[in-house]
Amino acid sequence: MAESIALEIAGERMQAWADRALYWPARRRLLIADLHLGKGNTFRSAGIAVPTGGTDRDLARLDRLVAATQAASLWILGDFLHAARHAAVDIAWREFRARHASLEIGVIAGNHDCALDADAAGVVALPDGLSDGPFAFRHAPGAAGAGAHLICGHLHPVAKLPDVGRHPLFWLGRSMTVLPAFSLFTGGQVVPLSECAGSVVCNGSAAYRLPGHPA
Amino acid sequence: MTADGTRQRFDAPLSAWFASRGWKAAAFQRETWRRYRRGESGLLVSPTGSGKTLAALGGVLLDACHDTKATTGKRGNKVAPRTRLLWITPLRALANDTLRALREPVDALGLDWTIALRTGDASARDKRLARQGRADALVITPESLALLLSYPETREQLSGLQAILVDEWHELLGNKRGVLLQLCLARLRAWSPTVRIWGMSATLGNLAEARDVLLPHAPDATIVHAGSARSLSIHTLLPEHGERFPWAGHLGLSQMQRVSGQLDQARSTLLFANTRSQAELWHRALSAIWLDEPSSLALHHGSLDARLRAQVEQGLRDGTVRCAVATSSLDLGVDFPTVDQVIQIGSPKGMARLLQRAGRARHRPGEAGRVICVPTHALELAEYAAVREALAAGEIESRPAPILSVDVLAQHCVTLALGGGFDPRQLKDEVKGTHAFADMSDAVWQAVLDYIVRGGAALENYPEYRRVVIDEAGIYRVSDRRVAFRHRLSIGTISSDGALQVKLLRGGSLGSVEESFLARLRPRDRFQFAGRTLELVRLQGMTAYVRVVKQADGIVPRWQGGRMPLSTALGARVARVLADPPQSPEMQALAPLLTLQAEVSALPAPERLLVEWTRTREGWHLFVFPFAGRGLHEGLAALLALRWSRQAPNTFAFAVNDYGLVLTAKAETDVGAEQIHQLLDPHGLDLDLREGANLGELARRQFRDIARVAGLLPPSLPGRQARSLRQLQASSGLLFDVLRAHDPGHMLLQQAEREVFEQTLDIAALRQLLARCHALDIDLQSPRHLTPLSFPLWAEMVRGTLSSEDWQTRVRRAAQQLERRHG
Repeated sequence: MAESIALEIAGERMQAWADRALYWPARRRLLIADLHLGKGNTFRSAGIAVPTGGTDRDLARLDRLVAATQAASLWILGDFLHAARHAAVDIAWREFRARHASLEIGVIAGNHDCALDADAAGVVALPDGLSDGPFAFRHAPGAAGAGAHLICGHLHPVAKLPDVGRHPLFWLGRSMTVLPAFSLFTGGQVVPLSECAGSVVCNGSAAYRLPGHPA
Repeated sequence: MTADGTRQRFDAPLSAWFASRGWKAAAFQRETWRRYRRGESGLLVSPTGSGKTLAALGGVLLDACHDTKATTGKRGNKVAPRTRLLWITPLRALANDTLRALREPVDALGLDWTIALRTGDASARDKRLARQGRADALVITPESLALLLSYPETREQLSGLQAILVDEWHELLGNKRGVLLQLCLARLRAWSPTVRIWGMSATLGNLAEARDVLLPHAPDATIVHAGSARSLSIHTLLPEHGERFPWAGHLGLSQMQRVSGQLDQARSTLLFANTRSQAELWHRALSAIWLDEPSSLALHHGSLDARLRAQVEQGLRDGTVRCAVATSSLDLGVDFPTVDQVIQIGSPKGMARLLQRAGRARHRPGEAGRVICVPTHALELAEYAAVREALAAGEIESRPAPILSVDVLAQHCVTLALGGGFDPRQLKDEVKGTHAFADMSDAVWQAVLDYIVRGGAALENYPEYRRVVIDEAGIYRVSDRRVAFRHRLSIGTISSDGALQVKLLRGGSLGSVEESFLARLRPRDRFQFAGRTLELVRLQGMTAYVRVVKQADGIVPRWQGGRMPLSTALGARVARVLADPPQSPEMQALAPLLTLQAEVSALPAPERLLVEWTRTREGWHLFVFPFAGRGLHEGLAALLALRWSRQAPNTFAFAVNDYGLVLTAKAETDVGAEQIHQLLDPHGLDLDLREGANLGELARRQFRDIARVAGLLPPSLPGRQARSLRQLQASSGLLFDVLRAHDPGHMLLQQAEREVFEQTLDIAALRQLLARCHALDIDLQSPRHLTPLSFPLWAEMVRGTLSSEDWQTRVRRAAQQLERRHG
């Protein structure tokens, strides 16, 4: 099973999982961002031959994370969908929802989520900027409110390490944490290494905390 | 000859015009006209600027004169004008010059012709004329021709085509743009079976192949030679006697003063650099000491805005530009007779390339071409001596033509599906009539059709896929407007990294820079581009807004594609001149360094393979010097690293340059001559390479171009991003990973792997190289320090692991230490 490493963020004990999810034990809540369901379908219907399988694989990863963390809730910080809804994706998601009937799932709408129908998806629509404990949650970086630590996605941060290449990044700052994009079919924006002190890189099966302290 | 006789001659109108200019038609020109008039196609081989345009064009013009006489059509009353001549040019930058070059004789012969440009830079008027088929002659690039074929009405408009003239065919022959052109020509031939096709090419090592690729339908077509290749005199700017010369140079700016002296001696100069960043740096350094009008010093490279480039070209023509620092963007094309001298900074890379560059400037019939070479490091002296020897021996590189590029074929099929649809049986025959696809199997053809219709071979992998559909009559068509829009945007096979437009905040475009470079910058960061120091203000969409700043302290963008390998033929020549130095000024200047090399190690020799084993702070290094060019060394290094690590577990890093390769072991180890001999065994090459060359990573890199050509990557539009494309952004690497995971047998993945084997690694050449090295005696030296031959490789290796600033500082320091030690 994928490894995780323990962190302290804004005084809270958290776990960064190597498969691109953040877990908050005190709330038994799994946090991910940028699921981009249906991205491959959108490509295919535009005439770009991307094979199927991406959605199933992403949801299977989520299955394993929910099982491994025993999470009671799952929050998706935006870009739940990639674009339009597709029948095959709706089915795959409904099956996922049925497998985790007792899991509470909340979604903050992201910039890709125009077509999101929370009721149909069986999820709770959460407001952008919602706060809980020391944290505020948004899809994209923005104001967090006085003293709150922002947790968000949207940027798809990756770190580019010499000789090792690009890897998804939990980009930790003193007042903000940016989650890596959860979907495997996503690209990333390279964060300069000078800004990655104390951040966590991961490759799906292992996570590694870069030396230094978040700035 | 009597006046009467002149009139009856077939070329009378042209000869009369020639005579009025005080010219006389050359034998090769008359031969080409005669053959053209007889309905033949052919290949015209000429050194640049020796009247080839008139040679190729003459027959078409004579035909037109003849037609006019026959029909005596009234001016302004032309009936259904149709395009009769296509002039295909590889470079947009050439098109304007070509237009002028066509205009003159057309007007002189009193032909009432509309000539239009149909390239990416064409005006709206010209594009309209081209679309409507109302131009008699069209100047067009292969990509724009492909674009024309995507419109159904093109067939009608081009069906009266009489002649296709392909300029600079040697530039297209060896790449996928040439493959695209082969396919387009096959289509045009199907529409007008009698169309005559003439290629114009520089001298090549494989002219017969060049002809067969262009004219697969006309075996044994003639090759007309425009006289012998002009002799080229190579003059090298030598270091002063006793002057210390860098062992591993990068930019050659230490030669600044001497170059500046040369510039003063001529009225105008073309200064060629090998990379765009080198050109930017030289331009910056020259402007610091430039005493003339600042606008008389110009910069020309492929990332600059077309308008800026055109200004520079105009300036070169009318003499307002005294020095243009250029890259291969000016290698080709219509020449600049007003330019007095050509200077080459750094390695010539090959015979053909140096000839091409030298040919850009003033050349009068019978006059020898001349090029001044400026070495950026010591060993380039040997390259100049070698290139001179090779040219004297008449040796010149070949350009093999790629075959079975299924990505290009897939693109072409979609283009035709869009341009009125195609019948697969007919199209298969047409495609198999080209050189590139002559050996295409039915399975490959089916895979291409499957890809464009169903997405891939396994239908269940690609539900909801829409691109090409088959109608009731079995005709393949594109009906989706979004697919059509996207395909037209992405037609063409030249690919580059996603490019960002660079614009001044006040307005005005400067050109485009690769995304990977600009993505590293943050607002207020400075960089050098288009000969100015710019400050990034903001990135917005696909545009970088910048302002000009006064202080020249910006970093210089590093573009991809700058690392052209030394040609294998030149590499072999370099090894020969090092082993047995000819009496040339370059080799005399190099003598002290070679003496040092011989003292601390040994010189390369034809019957021995020089290998050096040295320890430095970085580790234990094995330097091998086959002199086969960077490309082959890369494959060889991967192979040796794998085999060595099998014998003794260790971690190896490697680096290559044009002369050799270095393997660096991280853990202590030792090596013997017999062991090296075993490492070079040609047996098991295929399997080992598959395992050792990091094939996955190489294929991933190769896949970028393939994905773009085959339409997997949405086109990136400089300056604007169409709304419909926003949701289709994905990098080629990501697509590669997804395909590997979910459709590993995909046609395009196989294509990527095949290209890696055949092109990147060039396995056939690698096998030969290995056999050659295996047969040689191993001359294993263990110098205590780095040698003149090994130092540049060591620098290359260090460069791979550190940022560029650190690298430069560090290398400079190391170089100083070394030169002190041996000084």
